Amino acid sequence: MGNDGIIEAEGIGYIYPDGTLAVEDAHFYLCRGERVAIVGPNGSGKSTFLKILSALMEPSKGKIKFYGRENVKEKELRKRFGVILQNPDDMLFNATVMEDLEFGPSQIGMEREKFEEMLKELDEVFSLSPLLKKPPFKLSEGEKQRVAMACALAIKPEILFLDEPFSALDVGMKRKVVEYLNKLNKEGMAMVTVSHDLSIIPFISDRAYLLNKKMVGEGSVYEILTNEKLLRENGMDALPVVKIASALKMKPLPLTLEEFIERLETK
Amino acid sequence: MIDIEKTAEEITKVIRNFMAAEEFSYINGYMQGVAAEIKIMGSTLLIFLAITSRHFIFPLLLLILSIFLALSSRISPRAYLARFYIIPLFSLVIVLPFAFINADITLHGISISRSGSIYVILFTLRVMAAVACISLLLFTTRFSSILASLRRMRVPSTLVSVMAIVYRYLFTFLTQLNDMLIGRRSRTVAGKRSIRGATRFAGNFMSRILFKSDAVYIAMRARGFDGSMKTFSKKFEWNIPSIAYMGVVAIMVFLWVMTEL
Repeated sequence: MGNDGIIEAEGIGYIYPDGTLAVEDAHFYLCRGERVAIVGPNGSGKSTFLKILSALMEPSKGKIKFYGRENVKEKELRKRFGVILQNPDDMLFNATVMEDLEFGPSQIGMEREKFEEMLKELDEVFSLSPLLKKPPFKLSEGEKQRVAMACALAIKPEILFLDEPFSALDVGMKRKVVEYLNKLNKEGMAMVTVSHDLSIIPFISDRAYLLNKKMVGEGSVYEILTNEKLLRENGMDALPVVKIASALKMKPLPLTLEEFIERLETK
Repeated sequence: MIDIEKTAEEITKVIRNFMAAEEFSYINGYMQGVAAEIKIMGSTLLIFLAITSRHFIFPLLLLILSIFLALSSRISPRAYLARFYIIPLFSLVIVLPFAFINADITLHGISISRSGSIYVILFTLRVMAAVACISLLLFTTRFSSILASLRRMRVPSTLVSVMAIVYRYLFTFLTQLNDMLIGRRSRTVAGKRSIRGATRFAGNFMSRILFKSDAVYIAMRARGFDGSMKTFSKKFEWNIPSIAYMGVVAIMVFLWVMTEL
């Protein structure tokens, strides 16, 4: 993995206290500035695995190294890791949206001026201004998801972990957020996205893992998303655009509708 | 028969209104301009004086002052009264029997105790003034500012952290309770309720909040919480509203001395 390695996980397993097996013998690596996806069906252990990778949970077995070291202080990682959990309600526990946005930066000791600059930038993307004084329980699901994302990004993380991040966003906001995340990625932020919805993966990832309790597939996003057999065997369905293009014997297969249309037009 | 659903819904509504009131702390009003430290110290002193007062006059004055300050802070009177009527009402119900113990006078055919009635009125007034005062503080100060001020005032960090966590958990648990109530109502056909149903509901709620508390703790850790609560600290600065508020508190102390001594 070289000097650019951020996370290196081997033989990771996790069993919940009630005996439920969540993850078994999974591996993962992430380098600086990479965009990686972990896909899998419901209940395949993706969220648990993401929590282990973001140092929020200790694995039951296996080894995990952060920045090449096994024993890294959590405090050190928190300044670099931004985590967007699957349920935005878990992330919004303050009396107002503003206080929720301030929570992370104040915990890691960010200066107020720097936070205010960041807030301006986030406001442009997530349209936060009208929400700042509201209590989180008054927000719609989409608004909660926007605020939860902004909360994780407010610390200017080096790595962003996203767990089903776009489930409640409308198409316009999804596009805007994807553009912003990719801009941050170009500036050096790595991204680890967990999702069962494959349609978003080509836009935010270059490399992908297929997790179904065990790591059953690994490769480029193209390799994973076009492997219909592997996806089917693991309870997932290939993207409709891939299926149609495959039926039309297109080579290489498009992963997005835009690519598909472009390919049809050039034909 | 027990209507736990209705009770829980009412409690949720009251506490949610209480939480939602923090929106007023962002308005540009008089009390919002007073430094949090001054407000905390002033309110604590006024509450202490109100609860130690032996005459009606001081709690009554404090109540009028709180309402006046709330209006000058652009807090809607309805929201303000809605926030603090429950506690004094509750305390009135608790102490009301004192008005009938050892009855010595008859008023419109009802035998009451003179000293007992005075105690009931004084007690309720004290509670009303104290709650009005604390409500004004919470209406006009962001919770994070209160925490930051308490830390600057050298209140032990463990105590501040406990306060912050209780506040945060209360807020998430209420959301949870509300969701459960909505879910239950959406699947309730007949209005039949039983003690067994109520205990099952309470049990479910307890196990859900246990699960939720883990989720919230993980989310807090994910955002850098390491056991001690930190807030953006704003330097304390003297300003005209703070000095004016100190003047008001000083006048109230003088009035307390005049009425009590």
